[in-house]
Amino acid sequence: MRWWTRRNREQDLERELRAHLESEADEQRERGAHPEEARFAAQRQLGNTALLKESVREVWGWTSLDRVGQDVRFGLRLLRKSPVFSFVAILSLALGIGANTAIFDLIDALLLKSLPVHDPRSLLFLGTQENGAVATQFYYGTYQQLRAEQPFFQELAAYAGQVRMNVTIAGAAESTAGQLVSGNYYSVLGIQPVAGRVFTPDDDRLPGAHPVAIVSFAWWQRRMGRSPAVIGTKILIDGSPFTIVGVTPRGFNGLQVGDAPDISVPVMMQAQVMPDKENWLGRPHNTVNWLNVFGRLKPNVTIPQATAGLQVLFRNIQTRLAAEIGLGKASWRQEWVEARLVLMPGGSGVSYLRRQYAGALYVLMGVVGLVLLIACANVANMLLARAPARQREIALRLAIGASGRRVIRQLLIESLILSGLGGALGIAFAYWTSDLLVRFLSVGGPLIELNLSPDWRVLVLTAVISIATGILFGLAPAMRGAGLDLASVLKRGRGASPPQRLARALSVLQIGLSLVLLIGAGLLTGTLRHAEDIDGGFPRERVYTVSLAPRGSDQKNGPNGLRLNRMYLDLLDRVRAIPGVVSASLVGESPTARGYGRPYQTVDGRRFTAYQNQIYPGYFASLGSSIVRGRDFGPADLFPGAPLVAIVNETLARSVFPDENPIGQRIVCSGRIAMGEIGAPCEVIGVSRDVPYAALKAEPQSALYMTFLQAPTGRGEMQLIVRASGAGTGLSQELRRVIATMDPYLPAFEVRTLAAEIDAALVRERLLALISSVFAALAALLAAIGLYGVIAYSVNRRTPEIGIRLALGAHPRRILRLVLGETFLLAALGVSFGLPVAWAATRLLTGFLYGVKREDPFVIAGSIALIAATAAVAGYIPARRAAGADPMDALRSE
Amino acid sequence: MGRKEANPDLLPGTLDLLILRALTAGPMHGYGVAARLRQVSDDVLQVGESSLYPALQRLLLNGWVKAEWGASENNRRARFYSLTPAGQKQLARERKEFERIAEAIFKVLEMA
Repeated sequence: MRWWTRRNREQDLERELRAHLESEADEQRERGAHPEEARFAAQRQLGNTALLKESVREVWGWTSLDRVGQDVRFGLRLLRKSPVFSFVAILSLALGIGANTAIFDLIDALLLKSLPVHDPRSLLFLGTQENGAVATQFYYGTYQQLRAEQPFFQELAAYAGQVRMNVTIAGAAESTAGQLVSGNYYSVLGIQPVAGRVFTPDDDRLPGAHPVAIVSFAWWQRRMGRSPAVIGTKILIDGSPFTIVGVTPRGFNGLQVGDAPDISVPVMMQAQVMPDKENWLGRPHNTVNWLNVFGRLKPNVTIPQATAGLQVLFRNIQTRLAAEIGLGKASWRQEWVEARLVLMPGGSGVSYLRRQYAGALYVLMGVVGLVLLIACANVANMLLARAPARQREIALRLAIGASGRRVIRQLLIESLILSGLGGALGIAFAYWTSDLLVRFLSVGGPLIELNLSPDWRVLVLTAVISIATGILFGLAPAMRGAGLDLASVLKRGRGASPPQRLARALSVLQIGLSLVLLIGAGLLTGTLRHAEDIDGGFPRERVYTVSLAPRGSDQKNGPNGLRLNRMYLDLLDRVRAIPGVVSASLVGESPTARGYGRPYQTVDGRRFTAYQNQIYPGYFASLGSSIVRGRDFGPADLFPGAPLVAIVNETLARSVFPDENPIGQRIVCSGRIAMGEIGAPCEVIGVSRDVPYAALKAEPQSALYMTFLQAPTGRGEMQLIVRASGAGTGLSQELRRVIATMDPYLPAFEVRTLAAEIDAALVRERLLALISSVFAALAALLAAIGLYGVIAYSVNRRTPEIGIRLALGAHPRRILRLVLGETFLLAALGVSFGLPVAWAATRLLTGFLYGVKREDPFVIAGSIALIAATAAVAGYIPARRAAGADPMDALRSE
Repeated sequence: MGRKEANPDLLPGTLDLLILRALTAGPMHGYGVAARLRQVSDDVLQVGESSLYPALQRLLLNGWVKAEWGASENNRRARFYSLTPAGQKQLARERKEFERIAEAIFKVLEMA
């Protein structure tokens, strides 16, 4: 059967039937009938020509496809005929579908998409599991020996991502994202260079001996304009000379999703590109966790086999390493050796973003899912409201022989056209939104690079959503359309009024769901506000922070500590001398970080946990906090060998010394209490107000502060905190200059404000609050449109009744009340349906709420008030129209 | 190409058989087939046009009849259907099958 023969067939059929009619008429005439009558008789004899043609076409066989085409054309014509309806319907679907696509696009890029490497599904990452938490980083020593001894993988490769490198090319320095990779990294992944070459194992043999670098396609384009001269170009990385030998393909951004290293150097060059760190390749620091290890299994080796075999090897290697570096304590050795080795599929890479945002993204997916549901209910409602107008048309079609199935299909195809157009528009919307979201997530941190080009999974999801929504909102009106009582509809003419139960139910559903979204958004916004107001309006944009990691600061114990202490004191003197600086101090853990909890006990044996931090004098004043009892650290406390002293915060003082004066109390603050070692006690000399920023995402915690030299930690990296009198920009330049003079080897550092740091710490909270608020508002708007439609329709239906009431003397205000009453009834039903749903749904949010309770009465009452206000607006317009109706007009319309 | 059910008043498949048989008399147009069936069966078999034309199309698609445009008795253009060799074979097959079934039905009707 060919399409192009179809026209001929139709013509043939047409002519044949005409001939038939004429023959029949001829015969009737021969029997003596009047010519006119003969024609009618012939037509009667032949019956329903249209139906006959249909059954002939059915024999031809292409009818179903053909009819779909007809239905589509008809549907499009209908959409053009009511542009407002079409616009609103398509737009609300586009928003619903687009939002879903955008969020799913992010989830896809972050959680599901495969890496652009050879056979990503066979990649396996090694990890160790302790108490359910999986760590993916290994010592160089472990990697080195595992690689040499293991027989299960074809090869084991390694990399260390997220290394900031200060790259100087032709005299211009730039802080660049970099990574260190093993010599077999590219061959294991199957990455071919687009220029030059990739590393081979020969590029990664001896520490410090391979000054070669590979750059990303993006860097090549940005910095070199894709010049072929890139190969052989000399660059400086943190002061050491390197030569660029190759460029990786476009789209390859390493294995860390969300990270995009521009420069890769061999693992053997660790000391050169991390001048602030010790040499992690040799003893005693080859036991720092920093390498991610991955590979592909040999054929015929199963994952359980490899895991079991590697576990044995791993234990031997760790035991050997522990002996080599003289790890004495049994408990430590146990922690080292007993870790359980696991193999994890690595086809979609690894990501810190995943841990950070996966939960939030699923919450957002739920939010946008609800929005889509509301949009569907809206379109279904609009279709239902249009149904009476179309009933006559449908009834007519049924009367001239269309089957119920045919009518249902027609109506379904119409809704599929709507959802299809909505989906297409939604994809465009999603493109734009997901890009915006990623920018949003990058606030205050390194730019997040995600491959957001929608892949088949996203497109399939959008298609499925579009089709499912089309069926979802199209089915009810369609079923209703097909089940018509023909005679009554055809007789009735205009103003058919089917019961509105379904439309009302949909409206109640919409209101309920928007209440759920409003409450959710209210809680998330409350969390954000709580976090942002935490310092009571302290001018945090006038506080500058700089992370400092001078040479040797990764090992404070020993002689390094004294040198660092002198350097830090000198720096503080210089910074305090800068005009405009109100106060300056240094702190080990950033005020926005939670830090590490440590067990403590008082000398009389009361045990407690507190976050410990090392600070220099002036810390509390710099952050707008203060010492409320006792004193701050003074110069005398900073000398080596000074008596051990500590400052505690109010929370600690309240919980540990509820009825005593905390000043002068003695706390065991050194040694490893968890391991039963009781060290020397220190004396509490002061109580500080809680530093609010540590409680951004949690309840206030106990905190204990010690001086740099006395704090029992090996970490010597500090954060400079400078409070300025004004928000001048010159200060950050001056800070940069002063810090640079302090240590010529200081690696790239960045001057930020506390405000920016808090912004960055609250990205997830802001994202959730913003998006859920936007969508809750959208949902409320859609629900209002839906409610308006239902009420307007109901008013329309009741026009005669209202006319009679008005004619009998009812006051217009009474009519207004009548209609508004109906509106509020629906809203109240929606609220009573939405409240329990919200109660259940917000349980999923508990991990995202701080400082706000799930049953927060203001949020709930506010959300209900918003719904009521929305309902009032939605109901007022038709109510006004009803109350202002001219009774005569109203009566005449009957 | 679906073989749809023929006139429900006839045994299934009988309409095709009747049309094929009618066409053995020579090329005939649709109206002629209907008239002939009516006439030969003494007006017992009223073949409705709504099943006749679909049936003719079915036979055409199966290649059992072919159609040509020609002039009717009244000098009108009409579409004449004629049996193809395949159609003749099909007629024989269907006729045998029909006779077998008819015989069986008779046997049942005449049982003691």
